[in-house]
Amino acid sequence: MKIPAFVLSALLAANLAYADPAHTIRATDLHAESQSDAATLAFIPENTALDVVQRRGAWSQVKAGAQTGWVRMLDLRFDVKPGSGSSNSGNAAGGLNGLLASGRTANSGTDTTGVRGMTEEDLNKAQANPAEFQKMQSYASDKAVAVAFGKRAQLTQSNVPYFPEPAK
Amino acid sequence: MRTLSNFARLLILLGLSLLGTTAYAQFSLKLPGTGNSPVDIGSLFGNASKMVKGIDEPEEIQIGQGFAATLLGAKPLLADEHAQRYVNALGHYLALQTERPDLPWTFAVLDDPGFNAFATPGGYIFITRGLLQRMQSEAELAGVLSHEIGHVLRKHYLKAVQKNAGASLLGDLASMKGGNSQIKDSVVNFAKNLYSKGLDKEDEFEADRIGVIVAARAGYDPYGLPAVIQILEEQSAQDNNFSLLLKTHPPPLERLDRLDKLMKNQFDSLPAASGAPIATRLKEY
Repeated sequence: MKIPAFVLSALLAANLAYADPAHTIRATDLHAESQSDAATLAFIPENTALDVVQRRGAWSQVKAGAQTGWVRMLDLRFDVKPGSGSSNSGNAAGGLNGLLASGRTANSGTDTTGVRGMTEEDLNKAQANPAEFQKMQSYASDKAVAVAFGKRAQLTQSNVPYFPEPAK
Repeated sequence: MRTLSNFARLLILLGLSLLGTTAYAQFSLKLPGTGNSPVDIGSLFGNASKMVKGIDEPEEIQIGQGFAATLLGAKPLLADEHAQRYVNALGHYLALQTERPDLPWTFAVLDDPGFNAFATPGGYIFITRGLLQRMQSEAELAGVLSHEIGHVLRKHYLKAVQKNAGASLLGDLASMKGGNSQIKDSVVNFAKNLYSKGLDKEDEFEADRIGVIVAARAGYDPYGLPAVIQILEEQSAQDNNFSLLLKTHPPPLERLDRLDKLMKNQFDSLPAASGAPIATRLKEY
């Protein structure tokens, strides 16, 4: 299938941009693979700066100095990106900007980065919109569609209990 | 009952239930329970369910419809049927993993470049276009939707209605006469205020705890939600696309720390799908 040039460029840009600076919040092991029984490549002390390349489940692939490997994602905290406005991660979902229909309220086609998100002011100015709500209901899926989604996606359901209430 | 909203009825119900629950709160009158579940979920999950006993499920749904119409007044639906159908299929599938599978679960993508998600009582859930665009995997989206589902399960917004409804709103509702199909300004104003201010921080932490589990039950990588919170952690609160969410939620660092302590390595042996690429799903639905 032909990939439109703008989607491809978004994907490439995302890959290049996705090396997010982070730091360890505790000492941790750098593993060769994204599992705890994989070989340990290095010991990483607390508060070590590194770059996150990608995530796989509980694990983040990182570049730490000259080494690349996997650490537990929750051993990491990201650093706040400098600046504001359009963020690098905005285009990272496989070129979704191009695939989603352009916003009807957007002034400039599919360019969304310059338009701000909902603010308190937007909420303050809101009037109830029952017609739009009816339209929303028209897209609801029934249970059969929901069950079919899980089957089609080949998801394995598990009986996982909720976490206990934290002690007050 | 679950057909299209009759807003006059909604407002009467809302008025009655607010009056009823106010009496309950102030005078400790034991109103007859309107329990609609054979299981005493309240005793299992703490006080949240008990606190909203004066509002039964049909009333909860109607209140949610009024709030949903208000949110849609702030931002319209994204004009993309594929995206709308997809989030409904995924979201409803997630909701089937919970103790409230029979609510009229309905999901929507708002045409908004910002990064946010909202729930209303009764199972109406919104994500913004900007959030959908920033998801790295379906598991992340499942984590977000499951967090919102958690707010509905534990009736966090109903709790906020009980806690914050002022005398003027109560008065408005009490004095209302039937036959008015408009949503009363006071209800719209209440919703606007509620979604500007956000929920109790503890309710957000609870929705995080539930979100991880609902996604895991559904077969998704339970780290999808923490990964999204990591996205938030990187953002400046001055970024307009994130400022409303960051203002209405606890600091991302604190949310991560709490999930970190709970999750440890206990999910390592579960099946944990990251799901299909969202771009692929949009073509399927």
